[in-house]
Amino acid sequence: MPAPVWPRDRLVGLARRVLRAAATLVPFRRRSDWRDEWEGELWALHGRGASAQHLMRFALGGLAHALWERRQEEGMMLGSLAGDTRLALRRLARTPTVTFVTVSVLGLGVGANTALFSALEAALLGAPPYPDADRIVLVDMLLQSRADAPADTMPWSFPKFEMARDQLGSLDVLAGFAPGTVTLTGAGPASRLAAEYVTPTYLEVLGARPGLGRLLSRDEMAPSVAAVALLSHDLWVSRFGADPGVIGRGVSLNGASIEIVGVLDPGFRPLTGPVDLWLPVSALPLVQGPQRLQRPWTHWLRAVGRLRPGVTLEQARADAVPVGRALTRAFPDPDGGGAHGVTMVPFLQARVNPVARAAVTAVSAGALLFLLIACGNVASLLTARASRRRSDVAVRAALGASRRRLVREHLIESSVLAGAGGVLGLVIALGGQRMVSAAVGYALDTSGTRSLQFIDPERMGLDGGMLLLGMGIALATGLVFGMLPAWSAARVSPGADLRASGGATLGSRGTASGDTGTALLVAFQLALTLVLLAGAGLMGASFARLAGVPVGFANTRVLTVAFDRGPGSSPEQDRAFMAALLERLASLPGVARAAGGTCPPLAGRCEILGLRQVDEQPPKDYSEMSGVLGYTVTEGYFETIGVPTLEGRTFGPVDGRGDAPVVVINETAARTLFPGVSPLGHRLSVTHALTEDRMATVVGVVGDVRYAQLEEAAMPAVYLAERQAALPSGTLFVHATGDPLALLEAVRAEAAALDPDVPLYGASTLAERVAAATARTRIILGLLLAFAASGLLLGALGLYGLVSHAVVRRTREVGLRVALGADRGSVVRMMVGRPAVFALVGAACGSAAAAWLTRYLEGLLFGTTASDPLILAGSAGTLVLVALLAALAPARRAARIEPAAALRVD
Amino acid sequence: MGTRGPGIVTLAILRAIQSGRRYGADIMEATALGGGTVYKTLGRLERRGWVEGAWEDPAVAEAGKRPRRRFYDLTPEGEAAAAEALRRVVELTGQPSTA
Repeated sequence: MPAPVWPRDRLVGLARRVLRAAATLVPFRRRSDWRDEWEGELWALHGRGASAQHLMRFALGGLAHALWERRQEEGMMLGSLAGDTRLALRRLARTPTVTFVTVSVLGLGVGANTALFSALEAALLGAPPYPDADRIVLVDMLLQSRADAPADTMPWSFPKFEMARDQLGSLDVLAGFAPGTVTLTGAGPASRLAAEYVTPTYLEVLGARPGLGRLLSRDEMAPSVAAVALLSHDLWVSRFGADPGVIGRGVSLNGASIEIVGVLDPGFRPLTGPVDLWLPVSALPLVQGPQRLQRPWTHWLRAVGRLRPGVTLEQARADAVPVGRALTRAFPDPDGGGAHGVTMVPFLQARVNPVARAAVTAVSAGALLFLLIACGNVASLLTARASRRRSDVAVRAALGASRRRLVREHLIESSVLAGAGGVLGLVIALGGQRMVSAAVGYALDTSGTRSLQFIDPERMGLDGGMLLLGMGIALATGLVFGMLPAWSAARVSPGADLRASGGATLGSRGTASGDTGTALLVAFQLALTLVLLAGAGLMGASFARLAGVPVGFANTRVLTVAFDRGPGSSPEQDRAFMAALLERLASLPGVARAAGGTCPPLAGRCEILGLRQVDEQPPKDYSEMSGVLGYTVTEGYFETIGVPTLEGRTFGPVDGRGDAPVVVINETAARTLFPGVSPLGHRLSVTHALTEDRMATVVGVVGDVRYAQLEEAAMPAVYLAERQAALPSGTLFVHATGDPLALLEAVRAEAAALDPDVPLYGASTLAERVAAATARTRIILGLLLAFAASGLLLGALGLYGLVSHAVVRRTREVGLRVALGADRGSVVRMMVGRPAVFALVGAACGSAAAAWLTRYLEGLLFGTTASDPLILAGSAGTLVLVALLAALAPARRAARIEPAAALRVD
Repeated sequence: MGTRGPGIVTLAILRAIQSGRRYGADIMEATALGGGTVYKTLGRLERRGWVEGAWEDPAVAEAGKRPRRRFYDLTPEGEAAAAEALRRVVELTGQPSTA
């Protein structure tokens, strides 16, 4: 169609210019028609002699209409969200590898973090399940054994607790609590229950509520009141069938009749770990005998208090100083020892032991580093993809797609990616929940320490806030890095980009600035990876050393199960029971040997005896040798678990009740008590009620067995003969020829046949105990190693992608260089040079960060230190090596480029 | 516009088209409305199916050495809606609209 001939009128020209400018606002597909229509009407108006004012008003009307058209289009775009999402999905499906890697990497990062941070929140950060937790303090006793020795933090004896309770005026309440076990008989088979002996105010401080019945009343402190107990919700359901009629019913605990007065709310978390029932301390004389409440030097009760409103911790601590002095005056040390004191630690600070805190923090920090690496990786993937799409985007921009439109498309695509990553993360977090619970359970396992255990890993759920945070981080990464390239791509002038896509020529940097961004991201990933590698290296070294610690016993196919005959039986009855039981067990098929002992190895120090006398003198250094591990074991104990006899003999038939008292000691005791001489024939005595502290002759020396944690050095141990003492409670050891746990039912049957009221509980095997002893280190190592390996893989992939991209982009340049005489080596150096610099920068930054961050692992290490230069250097070396290998592969491809072929590239 | 009956602007434009003013400039002149208002309303009416736009025969424009123009006609629905709207105006005011 020939162009219309427009009149040479200034006003018409101006109006046309306004309309043309307005037309740019109109969506592209309607723009040409729109302009034609408005110009047609302009012509008509002018033709019929419209006034200047009329013409300008018309033109401005056009502008208003163009704006309206644009808004309509945008509104429609919102409506087409579903369509755009479908488009985004189709586009993502076109690059399945990038999509798959992005989604999995984000998912893993989010999943691991959500699960671990939920644990961290539960263990360390979150509000504890108690009212006014910031005013709750743990109040322990300090006791100096000598004037020049540091004071030991220890539990209270009941008389001292009562005095402190009455005198500590800065506390609203001071409540006592102590874990214990009781045997429930009567309703069904005898069972061993976890109990907490508490003063009634304990439940008040922790804000316990009765689900049924009532709590303890304050007058139930008095021993004369009828003995009562509260049940946990779980016990009420499992043992009493959730019968509301249980209130007021009597049960038999350790043979004493106790009345159930209440069931606690299921949400209540006791301080000492899972508890089946609560007894007032006044019930102790009934279920455990009278001594515990009376003896001022039997320290067993822990205390928790609440600061009075307005009283600061410092004031309370100052107020406690005179209380310590009063305690010293009221309870002079029979051994001539030292002063008492009172220590108060805020509950929020004391709630988790430092090792557990370090463990959970380390693993969570590892997860966070991994998430950052994952985000960096996703960012570089998306940036790389965006740069590949630049020409695509440029063509569309040239065809009239608005920047807003392009950005919107990328926005939706990024959201779909990030959303999918987040959803996968949720799935992983839910799936990993069990594993994390177990890991945290191990991390928080404080058996043998005096820490609180109010967190129940079994009940630890995913934290909603953490999940949102994880999803938020994933979305933010996806969005920011999905969007930035789109934004810059849409900014770029289409012509320049279309030209640039033809391939860079010699000396041209092309899109190298985009590569610098990606290279920085890769360096960032490598730096973080190095921190993880160093952490994993340290834990690996610790694990190797820990696993190399000799446990001291050779047989691991041994069933260990605890038993408790309660307080009612005499030593003679206990000895008869043990002899009969061991005889029955030894005759069971599949049993190689059976024995009894105080407690199993690797379970914490269970009994410490005072060493009274060695030969004719008291021990040389009282402070160091005031305690030895004391174990009462039956004949055949050492043979059952496989402890070597180093000197002399172990217990035999000649070591009966009426025979001369004998002991067997371990290697460490032999070395410390009898340096340079054979201990055989020497005599010593330990404080032990059943042997009346008699002097006993050392008849044998056995190897050291690790009874406490593997990390602790072996302690001197003295073994007493069971037939010269007695084992009213302890552990049975059954060396099996097959699967030890398969023997459990038979062992139970034999015990029940002798005495149906003896509960057997806590069955395990020595193999399991060995595994559990290194479990914490192993789990932390496993997690850090997994994070580090994934981080290394992602960093290597990032570097590989970076170099590959550069090789493709610089194909023509390489061709030219080779044609001009460059050798293959220089091509490889050219391609690897820049990435290598970035890798080294990453490694350097990572080394600095690792040196600083790994010191937080210190408490978890064994046999190595956080600043171990060998491990740091090894980690850095591994990182650089992997990085170079990742960069070399594509660079060698570049070196094989044929100049003729390269120069033909578009 | 919504599901309510057409407003006074819409009615004015429908009546203008009905009376044979089929081009944008003519409708503006007949209704004394600005170009923006007229075209926005025409756009909505087109989308609603009451009005149909079409380009004039290009030969005519070429012959006049001027740009082509676009004209609008009422569809049967548009006719019915205009009649109904007018009936309501009469009902409300007691006299036919003067537009």
